[in-house]
Amino acid sequence: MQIRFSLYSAAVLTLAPIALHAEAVSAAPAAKAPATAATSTTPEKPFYSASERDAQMGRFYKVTQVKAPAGIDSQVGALSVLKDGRIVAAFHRGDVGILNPEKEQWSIFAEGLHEPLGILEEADGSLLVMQRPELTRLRDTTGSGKADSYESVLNDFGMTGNYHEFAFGPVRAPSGKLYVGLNLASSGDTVHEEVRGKWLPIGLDRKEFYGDWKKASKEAGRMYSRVPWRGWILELDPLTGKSTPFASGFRSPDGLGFDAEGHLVVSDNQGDWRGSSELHVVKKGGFYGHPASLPWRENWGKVAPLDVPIETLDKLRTPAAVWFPHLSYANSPTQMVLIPKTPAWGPYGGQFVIGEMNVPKLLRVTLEEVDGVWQGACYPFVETSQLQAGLHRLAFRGDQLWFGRTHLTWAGGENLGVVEPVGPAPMDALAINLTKTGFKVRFTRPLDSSSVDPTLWKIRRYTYAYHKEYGSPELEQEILAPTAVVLSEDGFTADVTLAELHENFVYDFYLEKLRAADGEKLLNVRAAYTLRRKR
Amino acid sequence: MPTPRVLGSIVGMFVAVPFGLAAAPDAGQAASGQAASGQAASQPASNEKVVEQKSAQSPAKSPSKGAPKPKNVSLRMAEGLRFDPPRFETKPGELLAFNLENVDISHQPHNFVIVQPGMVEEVVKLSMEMAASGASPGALPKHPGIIASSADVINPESKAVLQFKVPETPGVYGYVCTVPGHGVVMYGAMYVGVPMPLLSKDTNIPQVTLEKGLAGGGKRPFVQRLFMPNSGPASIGVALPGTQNYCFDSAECRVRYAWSGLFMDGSQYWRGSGKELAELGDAPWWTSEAFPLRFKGRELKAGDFKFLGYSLKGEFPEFHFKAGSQEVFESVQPSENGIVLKFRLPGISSNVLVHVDSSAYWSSPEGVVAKGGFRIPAAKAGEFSVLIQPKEAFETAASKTSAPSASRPAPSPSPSPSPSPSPSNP
Repeated sequence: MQIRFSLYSAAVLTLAPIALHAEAVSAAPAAKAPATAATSTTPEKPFYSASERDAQMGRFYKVTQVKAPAGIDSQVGALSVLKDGRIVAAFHRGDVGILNPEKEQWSIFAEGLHEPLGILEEADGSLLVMQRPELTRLRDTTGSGKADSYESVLNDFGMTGNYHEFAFGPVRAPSGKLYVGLNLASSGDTVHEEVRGKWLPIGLDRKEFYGDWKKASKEAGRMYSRVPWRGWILELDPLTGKSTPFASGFRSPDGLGFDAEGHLVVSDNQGDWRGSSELHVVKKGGFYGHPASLPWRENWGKVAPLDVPIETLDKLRTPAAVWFPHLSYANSPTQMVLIPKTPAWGPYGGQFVIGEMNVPKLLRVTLEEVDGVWQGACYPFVETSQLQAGLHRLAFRGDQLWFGRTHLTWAGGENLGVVEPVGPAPMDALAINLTKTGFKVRFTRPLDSSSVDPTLWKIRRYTYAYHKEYGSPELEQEILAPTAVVLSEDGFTADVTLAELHENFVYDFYLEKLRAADGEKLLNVRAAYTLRRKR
Repeated sequence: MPTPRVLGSIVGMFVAVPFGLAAAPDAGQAASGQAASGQAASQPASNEKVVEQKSAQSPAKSPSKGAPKPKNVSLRMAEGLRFDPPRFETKPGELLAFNLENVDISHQPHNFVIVQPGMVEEVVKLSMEMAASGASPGALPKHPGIIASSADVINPESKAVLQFKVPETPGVYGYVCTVPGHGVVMYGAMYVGVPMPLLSKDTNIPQVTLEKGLAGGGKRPFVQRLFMPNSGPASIGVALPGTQNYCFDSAECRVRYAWSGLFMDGSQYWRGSGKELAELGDAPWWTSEAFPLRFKGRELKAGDFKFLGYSLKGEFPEFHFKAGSQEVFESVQPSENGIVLKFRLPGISSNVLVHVDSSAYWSSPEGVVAKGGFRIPAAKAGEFSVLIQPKEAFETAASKTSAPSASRPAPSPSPSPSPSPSPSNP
């Protein structure tokens, strides 16, 4: 075992050189918002050029393109793998197609759905599809190969007709219960003349929604919830058909999933009350930060959510387990699925892979629970121009990672594709776990013994504001170097000691100077741990 | 904006107004003349030209009283050198009124030329040759394949009406803009008595129209859920076989309105952020005022309904919902002039009242005229149908159809003779 101490005894090498909001610096950054949400960071120059990166990625991953069925809109809202190995996808205009990958043949199973964004097969072969207005069970009762029964399974939630009220899911818990996520409405538009569900009498008067919207929108909240359960996760018992509001505080919960132990995880997008994009581990009754959904809680009273002091909201909320640092890691993370524990995926088995809308990148996520608090890290995973942008939906078919792209009116792509690992795992930071004094960083291959030199490690620490403005700059930024780095005997794990640890900060690792014992460079040189609770 | 709805009590109006299937022609005219708010929208605009069909084979008659009313077909000339819709279905011998409108935002003039099956290419070629030899751009080619055309070019932001009698010979007739250079991509297909293939497999239309937004690509029957005008956000559009379409509101569990002609265009929604409403192929000829069934005299309110889905086992989707404690299955089928609501009420053991509204003619073979509409006796309430017809079509329908047991026209302020029994209060 080698131990080498840093020449620098002080951990802090540089003080936040680009913090624009000195007044925002505080011990409780989450509760004290800077005046504006201007982005303080320009995107950093990537370590690899795009062509270099593609070439490196090509050594480890093969990407195959798959076309959507001819003649239909090829934006993928939902994707799943059936028990028999066929692929099922739902498309922007409401078609549900089933692909036999061996024959490369699509058949259309259902049509005419309203913006389907999730699909899940049931034990009897029927398909649950989440569309804007409802969760629908599609069944082929005649054996024709086309659905003839469109059963409405869950529709007791509100809709205003606002374009941003997307509906996501379903995902199935080990218990068999189903979970769906309901978006907030956006102040980018008002509501329809007719709405479904009870109108919330709290906040901007409904008649203002039909007047000068440009003017009124400023008071509606950037994102708003004026009919039931917008901004909520709902739980459905498929046996009884009964649905229950499960957790609140969401903005745009595009990705829902379960970890191997049955914890519900939900991704959400950077925006108001979301300094950067987030991943939450969701428990019943929890509130996950966006206040618009709060008045639908039992016994809420009559206070408009925007009138609640930030300090109160901050106490009420469970912060995200993982921040996806904006721009450098993800702009708009999507669905997460568990990587299979197979030889092909090797060390990554059991971790989450998650899609991203704006850049051709898949990320990984690891989670751990410290003193009842969920936290974890995200890692760039597969990044190659062949993926293209818009990686919206993911599903594993054996070792094949299928993806479906979409864009709507945002950045993104169309059609589908497959990622498969080729050859041995690359050199990557595999997982970061918190210790009492710093972090244990596990790699996919043994590190070179030189890695104990703390000057080869760079860690940037920063946090994000919790506030009603859109996004947040990186706040209270510091660049750190470990005080010590100790390698495990097998060389796979580096025990990184820092002079001090702060809760509610991102620890963003820059690992480009490290090498594997076999001389290999890291394929991905970054990893970001969100520290919520010290050990 | 929502279509104005009559919310007043119809019951009171009925008591005073004689009605009946017998409805003499003048009664029907009186009725169609007095309300029909949906029709007003299709009145000619000020800059509209009415163009007589130029055709030797099927001369159009000028519209006169007693002549059959032509079926309106909206056809727009749009930017990107395209006709909207790029295709439509019609019956041999049918009398059509093309409402032509140049909505091309790139401000180009267009014309509208109907040609015999398979003749699009030849006519386009001829127009190019004419242009090359110095003919004016709007000049119509002279070709035996041309059946009818607009009199001359239709300028941007202008409209024209072309009356046209559909040939008796079934086939895929082309329509094309012969302004030089346009016809290569600016053409469409009129399906006369032959089935339309899927839009994606249609070789009679330009490939660019695949991007067009007609829900279902012209397929009938077709169900498309989308944001629809004058209905709730959880609406379902249905294109029935033939020419009828309707909107079913899954929150209120009722048909909200019906229209004929083209189904709906969702391209604004599908291309945009998802905030736009679908565009209906035509203005609705009937807009419902309320859920039409009353069980035990009780009027159901919003919140009393629970949508359970629909099935596509037959040619028509059958909706399934609960209205109060009553389970209801409802399908909508086309009738000659309108639609038929077919209800199945499992386990019903009492009379059902069908409450009619004022914007269409209602009838029911199982119904007995009652205050506010029809009473369906308990014995027949397990399965019954309600025919709803446009006011303007009623007259023609009435003269052809054998009288159902009960029917109700829309209330009319002018009394008309009627051999039907007087309304009886249940």
